[in-house]
Amino acid sequence: MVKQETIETVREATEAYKYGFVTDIESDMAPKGLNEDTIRFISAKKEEPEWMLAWRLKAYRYWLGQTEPTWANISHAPIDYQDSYYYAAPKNPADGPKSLDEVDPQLIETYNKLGIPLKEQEILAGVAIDAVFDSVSVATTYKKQLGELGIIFCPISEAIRNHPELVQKYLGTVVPYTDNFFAALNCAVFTDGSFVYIPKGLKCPMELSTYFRINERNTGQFERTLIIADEGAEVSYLEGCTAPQRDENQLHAAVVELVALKGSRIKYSTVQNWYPGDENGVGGIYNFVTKRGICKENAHISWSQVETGSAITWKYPSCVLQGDGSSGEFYSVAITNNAQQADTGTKMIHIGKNTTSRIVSKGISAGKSNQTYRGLVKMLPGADGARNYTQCDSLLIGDRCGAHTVPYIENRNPAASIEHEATTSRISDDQLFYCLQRGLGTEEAIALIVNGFCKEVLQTLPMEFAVEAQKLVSVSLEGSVG
Amino acid sequence: MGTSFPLRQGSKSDMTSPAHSSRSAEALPPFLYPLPADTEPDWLKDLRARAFDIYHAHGLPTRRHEAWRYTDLSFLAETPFTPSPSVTLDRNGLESAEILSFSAPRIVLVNGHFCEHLSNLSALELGISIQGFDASPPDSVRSALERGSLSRALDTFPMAALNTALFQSGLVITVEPGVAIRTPIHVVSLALSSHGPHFSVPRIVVHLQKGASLSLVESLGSLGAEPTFANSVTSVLLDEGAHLSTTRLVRERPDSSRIETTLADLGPDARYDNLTLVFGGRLVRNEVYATLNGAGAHAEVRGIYGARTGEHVDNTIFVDHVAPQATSGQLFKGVLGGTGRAVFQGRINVGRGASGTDGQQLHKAMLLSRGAEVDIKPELYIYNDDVACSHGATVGELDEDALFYLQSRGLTREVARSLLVEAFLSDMLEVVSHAPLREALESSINTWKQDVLSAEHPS
Repeated sequence: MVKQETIETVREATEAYKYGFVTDIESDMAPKGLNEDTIRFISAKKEEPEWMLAWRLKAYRYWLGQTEPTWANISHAPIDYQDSYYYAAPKNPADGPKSLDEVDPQLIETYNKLGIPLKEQEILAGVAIDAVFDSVSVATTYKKQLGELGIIFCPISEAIRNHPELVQKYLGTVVPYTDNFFAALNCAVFTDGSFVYIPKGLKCPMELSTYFRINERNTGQFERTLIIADEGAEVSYLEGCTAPQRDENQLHAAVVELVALKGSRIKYSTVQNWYPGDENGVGGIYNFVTKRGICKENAHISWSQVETGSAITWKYPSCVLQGDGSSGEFYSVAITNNAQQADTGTKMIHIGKNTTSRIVSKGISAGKSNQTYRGLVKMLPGADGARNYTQCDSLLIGDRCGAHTVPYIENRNPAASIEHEATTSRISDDQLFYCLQRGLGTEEAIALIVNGFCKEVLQTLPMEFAVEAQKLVSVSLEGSVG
Repeated sequence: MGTSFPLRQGSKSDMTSPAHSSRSAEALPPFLYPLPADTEPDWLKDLRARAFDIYHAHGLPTRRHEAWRYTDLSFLAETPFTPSPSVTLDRNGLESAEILSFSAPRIVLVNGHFCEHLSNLSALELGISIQGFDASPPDSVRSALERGSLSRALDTFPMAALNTALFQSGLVITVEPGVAIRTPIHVVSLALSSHGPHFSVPRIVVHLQKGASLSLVESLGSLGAEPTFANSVTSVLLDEGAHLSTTRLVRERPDSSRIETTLADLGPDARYDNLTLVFGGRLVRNEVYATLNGAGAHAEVRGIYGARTGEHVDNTIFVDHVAPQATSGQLFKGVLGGTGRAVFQGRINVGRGASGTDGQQLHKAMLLSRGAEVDIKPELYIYNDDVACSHGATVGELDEDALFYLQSRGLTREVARSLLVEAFLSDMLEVVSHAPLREALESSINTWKQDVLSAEHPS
């Protein structure tokens, strides 16, 4: 085991959240609290068509009749939904910046601190960034180039105005407003998010990336993302987040919908590193997210996630394998430290024949944190020849943390096969000893072993993320050894 | 608008707090009657009052309760069950029940009532006491019923709470310190409907004192023309170094149901083996809660089950590792034919202090036909890093390659299927060391298997 002084040193070194700062930008805010007027305000701000407002209100009224779910293995003080702002936009949202030069310099400064210099990325990385600052997208790069190919990549509010036929056809079809408490809330008050449409047979030539950032004090962030891959299309989408340090818990209830039409492929990668709260769990983000994709015939959806942040994570990226021969994948690394809580996993719903799914989940718990893998594999009567393979491994670091595994397996088809394995262990003294004996420090050794533990998942990340993710794994672990 | 907003629901523990202790009859959930007489000792009254409150607040579990999401009890509330009267059964009646047939001292309970004339306790060894009770339990059950872990378990098991609030008849088995009982004891517990559908709440208490050992065999089933519902609880208290082996066969009639809850508390180096076979019944839930309270304790919970059209089998196992260096195993195998349904929920809990825990769990199900359904929820809750825990689950159909191989050797498809099902289940009986018992179990499995396979492929 690791010496106490090592733990102390590391704790000191990692105590302060690296990305913790608040940018002082005057917000254009909705009044505090949530009622139908708030929703009308948001809708009006967004210049939305009537049908959108009607849908929001329908969702809101449904939400009023719902109670917050309590089945997840998490605990927190009751959330007062009236004690939040539901809309915050950076200044001058109406006329929006036409180029980076018009973007508030303070905003650019924030991005620079985060290591996302838009200009540099534009030139060097070849990654188009739809940067969401609080709730309104302020800059979108590469839009023109993508537009020439027929790809639509824009803030969803813009899509509602400019491509209502697509939005109306698909919005809410994968995650309806009646889906769950937080999804209903999101439908009512979502302020922004990304919209992607890849036309038939086209492979998106670059990774699409959005950086989310929760900035204004006390504003819940409710993004809505909709990605549509038309027949035979292919796209890889990256989502990564960091957030400023603050004391009050912030509610974050996003909804992501993926529509993979016949023969298309969508890869959705997330690196989530929001503020997890201090070592006692004070502050930090509440991350209650609904993510789901639907696969038509021979389509493929792959979710990869590296979850290291947030005080509470409640997230189950799912695949509805509706079309015959479709497939879904879920690769996850979740690291919890200090007082973090995570209840995360996936759902694979096999409807079509010969559908396949693969779940690889690696959970690492440290400090006083608690982590639960919760997953569902469901084989419906029509899913002849369907296959699922699930592997979830948990690693415990220290004797005050918890690692839990709750898989749900429902099989209604004899011709479907399901395999599930789960193990829970700690880093073995033998492994550690071997590394130390080769001259590695304890911290290095643990980082090495854990990176090896997670390798299968990290490898699935796009290059742009793989580096950051590996670094994150090491950093998150450094403070955790004990 | 403030007050109309949905606030966070009370936590699960709030739901079971004795907040609603008004005993007004009109608000009672199903089955919560008749209450025992008021003349019982105070400790029992207190326990019953707590159990009453728990079930009263919880009600008959619905699919909205996490532990019951795959098992729907609503039909029980809709059936006009009445409490079972104290009825007796003659020898012919007993013969008609599908109970294990092998030679051993036998105790027969009908709707929980001890039937002396059907029981045969002449060959009992020294050191074991078997006592049937028919009004209130004897004081000797106090230590088992009041044991902290078993009493606390009522919060988690509403059906056990219901039993605790009501039970008036059952059996107490005690083995004295250091006594090893060699011959198995056969307990036959039957639910009998005489005038309309009946429910019963039998209770069995088994207490093995320090270093004692016992092998208990149970035949559980039902008789009569009308549906029965047995909500039965067995409390098991194993002192240091005690060893109890329970082998249980549940064969309910097609319209009868049973919720069989076992609450076991294991002391240091105690060992509990539970093997439960379920073959038949509209709804059978085998719920085992074993808490490993002493260092070095070991619990081995196993099961074999089969379900056909109209049948629902639920095995819900919860092994709670409290003490260090304890080990546990769960192994379940089941076969489903027709539109049979099966549920397996297996939970391993490893507490903060349970260093050196080894907990393993495996569930395998075989679906023979379209329309069958199996729902599995293997859970691990681990709060200690010094553990080796794993679980595995597989679901599939008969292996086509194996079928082909056997057919290529000249076997018919039917025989090949039968052989493969037999092979799939039979290794589970290897742990049964008593040969006559093992043969009796094998023959039960075979009868069931032939029935189910011929239903799949009527010749």
